[in-house]
Amino acid sequence: MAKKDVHQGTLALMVLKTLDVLGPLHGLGLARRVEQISGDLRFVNQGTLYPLLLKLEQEGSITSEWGTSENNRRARFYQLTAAGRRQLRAEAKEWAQTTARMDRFIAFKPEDLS
Amino acid sequence: MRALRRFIKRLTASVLGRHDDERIREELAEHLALLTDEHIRAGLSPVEAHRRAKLEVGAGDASTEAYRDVQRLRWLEDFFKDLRYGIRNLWRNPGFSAVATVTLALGVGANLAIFSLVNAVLIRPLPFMNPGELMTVQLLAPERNAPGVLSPTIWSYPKYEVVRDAQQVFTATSLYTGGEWTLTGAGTPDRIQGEVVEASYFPLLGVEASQGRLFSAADDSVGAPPVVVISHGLWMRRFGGNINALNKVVTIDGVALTIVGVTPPGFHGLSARADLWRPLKPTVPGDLREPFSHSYNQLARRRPGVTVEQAAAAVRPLGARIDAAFPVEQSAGQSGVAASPLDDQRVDPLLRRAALIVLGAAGLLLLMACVNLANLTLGRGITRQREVAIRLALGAGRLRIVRQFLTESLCLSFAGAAAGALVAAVSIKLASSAMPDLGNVLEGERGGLLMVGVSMLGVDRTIVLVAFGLAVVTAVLFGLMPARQAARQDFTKAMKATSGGSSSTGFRGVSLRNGLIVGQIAVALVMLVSAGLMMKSLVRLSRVALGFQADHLLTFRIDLPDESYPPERSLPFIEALLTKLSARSEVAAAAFGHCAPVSARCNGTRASFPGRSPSPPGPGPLVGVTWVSPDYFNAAGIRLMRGRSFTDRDRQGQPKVVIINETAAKKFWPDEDPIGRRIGVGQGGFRDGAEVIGVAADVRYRAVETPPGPDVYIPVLQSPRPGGVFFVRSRLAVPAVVSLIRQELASLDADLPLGNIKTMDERYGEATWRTWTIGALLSVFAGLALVLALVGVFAVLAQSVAQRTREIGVRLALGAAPQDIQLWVLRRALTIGAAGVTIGLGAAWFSSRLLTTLLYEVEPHDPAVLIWIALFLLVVTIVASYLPARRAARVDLLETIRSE
Repeated sequence: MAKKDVHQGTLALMVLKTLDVLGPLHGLGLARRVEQISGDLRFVNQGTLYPLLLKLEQEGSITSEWGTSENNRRARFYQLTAAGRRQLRAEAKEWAQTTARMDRFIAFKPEDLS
Repeated sequence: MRALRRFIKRLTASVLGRHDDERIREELAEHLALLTDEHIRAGLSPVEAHRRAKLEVGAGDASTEAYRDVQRLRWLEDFFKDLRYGIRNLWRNPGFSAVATVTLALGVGANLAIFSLVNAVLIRPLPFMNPGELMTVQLLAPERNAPGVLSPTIWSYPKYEVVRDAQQVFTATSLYTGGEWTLTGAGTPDRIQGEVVEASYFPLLGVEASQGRLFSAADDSVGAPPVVVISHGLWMRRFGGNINALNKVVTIDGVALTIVGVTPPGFHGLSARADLWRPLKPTVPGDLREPFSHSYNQLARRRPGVTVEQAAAAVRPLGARIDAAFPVEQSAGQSGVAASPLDDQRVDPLLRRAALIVLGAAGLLLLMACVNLANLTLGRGITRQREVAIRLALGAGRLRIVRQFLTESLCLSFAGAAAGALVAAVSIKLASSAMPDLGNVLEGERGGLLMVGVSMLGVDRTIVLVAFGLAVVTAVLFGLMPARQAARQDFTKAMKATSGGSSSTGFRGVSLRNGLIVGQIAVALVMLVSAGLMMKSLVRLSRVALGFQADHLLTFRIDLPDESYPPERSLPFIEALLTKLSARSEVAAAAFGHCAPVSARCNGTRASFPGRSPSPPGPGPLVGVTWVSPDYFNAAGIRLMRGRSFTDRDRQGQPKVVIINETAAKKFWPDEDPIGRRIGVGQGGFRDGAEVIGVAADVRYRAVETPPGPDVYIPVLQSPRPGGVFFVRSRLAVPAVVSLIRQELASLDADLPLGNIKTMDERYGEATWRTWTIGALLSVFAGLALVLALVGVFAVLAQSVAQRTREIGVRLALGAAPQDIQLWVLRRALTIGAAGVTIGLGAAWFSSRLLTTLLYEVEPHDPAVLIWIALFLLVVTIVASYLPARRAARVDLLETIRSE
């Protein structure tokens, strides 16, 4: 349970960051970009992305509307809101603190204590 | 903030049923199409591209389901679904639903009604400003007969002044006392109860005038223009709510007073009976310099930040200053001052205990109702096993099943609680109209505050919360066990079982239900024993020899205003009225007495025995003293055992004579004839001794429960004392007697109102109302408990017979006689009954001790009550099992086999 939460949290952060940098994207585009940027992450099941997007939308971090894709298909485009941008900043900062703390722990050697 | 926003979105989606499944379906379809395009562009065949795309998107249903969970509040929608299902289910079983609702309504109703009373009388804050700060301040006077003992008493003005000026812990203090006056002029004379208060009284309680003004410091000074404040009720009643009533002059006991203000509706002072207020100093100027005229209560408001303990500790030593200012000749010790929260004066400990016991009984009743319902629901659960099994087989979680059953129970319990609220409202209304006039039973401050409490009887937030809480608690109590039982079952077994009357009940279900009815019988026994003990007390109480004849005896008071009836005129007036009444042929006897029997308000003093030598050391024995007119014994129906009664010739100037009661005769002259002996009593000018001329039967003058002590009767003609009660014995109906009395009274003085008209039977009823009320309430609850237990035993046995039809058929086929089957069911009933009674007797042994102080001449472990009730319950159990047993014996063998 806890593992999934961490994953959910990190995925939400990735989605927000991707939308922040690349602007409005549809579901597939977003999935692809997240996979591309993260390097090794693969969605086992791309359909699981949509509940997450709905949750972010309910929270007011993103908005969505129907639009036309690059090859002229109808698609729903997701876009970061001002609130989402604030959330991204806050969470990114928190994430940086967490990783820095973890780095210190992992680099920890016995002589550091004396 | 974000979480809240999301919650609201999901809530509206759920409540409004905004189910946007279209969007996810469309989005997934587009996603698939885009992905397929991508794969085709990468060189895959359209078919292969589509297959790969589908794999990557994943199962659409799972995504849609996950999407739905995010979109809405699943638990809320489940709850609504269960609610609809439950209501439909209950609607389809009207018999079960009706029985359940009525059972719950009685249980919840009883609890709500009793709790409303307890809430009004004990819990709800008094309706004054910041009531927690209000305190009662009492003078602690050294007891003359018990050195070192201080007894709380009321104040005289000069002693009060000492405390008022010296204390540092109160922001304000006020004296107050009750009074009763005759209001004359403008219409019929009216007896009005009121209070004499200081100007600080109203601001202290936080009461403001609804019309005009209340007392100012200038009003409350000697020689100020006489003013009066009236209650809202009196203003409406007597002046029709007319604003012109202000500044009107009314005559009260012959004194002209100007009305300056009206109090808010519902306010009747701390006595709860006041309709009129008079400022203290101009009303009783004589008392201001009388340090030993103790007649006032003291109210105070604690300074913020001062605790109750600090306030009490701060005033305690002020007694020394009082003693220094007003020394007593033969001081029996030092005085003290006590301060305690006003709230502590609300209810006497016995009534508090009684209230809690009745509340406990109501709680037990509700528990029994819950057990009954749990039993019924369990029984229904057995017939619903297949339904549950199918749902379990289809993949429903066991928790979901439990939740669904619980939701159904909640529906029932809320219906029951709503009906119960109705029952409570109706029974409170009935009870308050049947209640005796407590004002005459409950004297003093305590009675007043209890009445203030009763006047607050009604629905407040606490009551609503309690009703809601009861509904939830009962639902859990009677719903949880059957729900768990239903969800726990082995569904393959249930599926295999046939529908009609097989023994698919697990062993667990049966033993659980048996355990529940055993418990029910035990609780019923406890309640029946409590009620039985109270009823036995009542029987004992009603058999008490009161010493007088209460039937056909009417009592009333006439309060003679001091102005028109100075002492030398009042006694001739009483004599004249008695003569006129006695002259009427309809009246058997008329008399005047200083105090009525069973009123607990008679004088007491010490007796001495002049001429007896050697005179015993120390103070003489305590005796009750009653002033009576010559015909008193005849009118009240008190038997004269020896000697003669008083006559018209026993007046002032003649040799002083007294009549004593039997107890006094036995106690003071154990071996001799008291007639002709001399006794002195410390009141009425009889200190030097009087001749005993007669011995009367013992009369209960105090509480009915209190055994008589030695009493002495003094002829009122020899020792004038105008305050008292008139007694008229007549065969006529009460209204006829009253109009006859009014006629005769009007012929003497048309301005005097009759007060406190009551038959002696009514007085007796008031004197025993507490025991009666507790007895009646406990009996009603015990009766309901008995019915519930009976229904419980019957239902469980009937259901178990129905479920065991096949087993019974087999037994019959194997050669069992129908009588054997009947005996088998009866034996089971008896086993259950015996177990319940045994446990119940054990519980009653402990619980009835709580009643000890409320019982009259009955031991809490009265063997007769215990044995009879135990036997009674066993018989009832057998009776309840008779029908199911007969049905079991009549099982038709062929039909049973055919139905398989």
